Amino acid sequence: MYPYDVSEDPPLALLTVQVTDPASGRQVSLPGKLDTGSGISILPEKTATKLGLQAEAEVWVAGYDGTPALLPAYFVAVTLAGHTVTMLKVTASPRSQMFLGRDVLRHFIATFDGKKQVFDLIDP
Amino acid sequence: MGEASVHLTLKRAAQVLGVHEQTLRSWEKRGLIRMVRLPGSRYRRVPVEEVERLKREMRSTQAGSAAPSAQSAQDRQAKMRASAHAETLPTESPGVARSSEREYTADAQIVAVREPPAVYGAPLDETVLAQGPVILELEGRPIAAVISPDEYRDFQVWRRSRSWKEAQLAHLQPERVAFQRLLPELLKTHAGQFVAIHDSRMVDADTNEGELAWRVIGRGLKPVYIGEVRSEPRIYDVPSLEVIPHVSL
Repeated sequence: MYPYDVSEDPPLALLTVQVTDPASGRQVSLPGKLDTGSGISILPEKTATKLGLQAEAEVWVAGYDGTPALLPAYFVAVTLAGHTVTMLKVTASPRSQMFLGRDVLRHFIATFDGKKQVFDLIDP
Repeated sequence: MGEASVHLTLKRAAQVLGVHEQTLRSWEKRGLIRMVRLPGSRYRRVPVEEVERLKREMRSTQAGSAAPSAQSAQDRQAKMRASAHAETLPTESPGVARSSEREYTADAQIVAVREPPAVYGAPLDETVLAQGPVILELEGRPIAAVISPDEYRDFQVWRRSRSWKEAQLAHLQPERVAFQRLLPELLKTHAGQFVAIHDSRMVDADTNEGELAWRVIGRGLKPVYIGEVRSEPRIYDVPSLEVIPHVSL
């Protein structure tokens, strides 16, 4: 079980993830937020730069207002909760934390206990 | 073959460009935008690359209401290819504001003053600018805007991020153009699959995007464009809204 990050209000499901560029083998560890509302995972642009990633695809994304925008996309490996998701297509944003969307969560059994402020990710 | 097969509806294209649908119809009449009617449909659609081109042109005019130019497609493609080859990745994170307040942009002019200035009687001090920007108009036309340093820092963060994204997309531009050109044929032969484009030709395909990426990245192909063969682009939801705890009002 992992504790919620209670420094945020409301508390959120946050854990450390490792992102690896499969081409260079470079790795970066950073906090990742679990976001069931996101259809694609999102790296901080700072992390993409640090890993030396160059776009290999592009994605149309739409935020809360539904307005689409075209963003560069990358293929990386993401390790969290003892499990690695390889060749995951992600995009990037200026935010400082990674967003782990349903493309990552579908590899796990995810349990959220908001009352106890803990969550779990199990690799089935 | 000359027409790309990834299209947006008129409504969607207008949303992306921040203009009214009627504006797009007007631009089409003036020959400033290329639209198509898909077989069996009476509705006009806008090719994705036309939307991207217009976005770039509207940004370069620095006025969202400005109409695009009627530059030839060949000239535009040549320019895009040239800029794609000239782009280099920034060495510093573009998404994070620099710590020093004196680091603005390379092309910013800094004017040191001894006291808060006034322009035609309008004071430009912190109190005034904290209430909002001061716009200078000449004969009813805005010619300059003065904003507070806090707003300028936010603007810089946004602008660096945008430049970074544009550089990343420009890196893919030649292969994306090839993908768009090949798409009508790919829809017949590889519909529903993912394809890898390198040197303007398809080099690999797979129903599994990750496995395809693994192979082409393993072969060291750069730049490579991995695209899904479908007539309409897939649109992903992105992060939910967050509460921002500290906002200066």
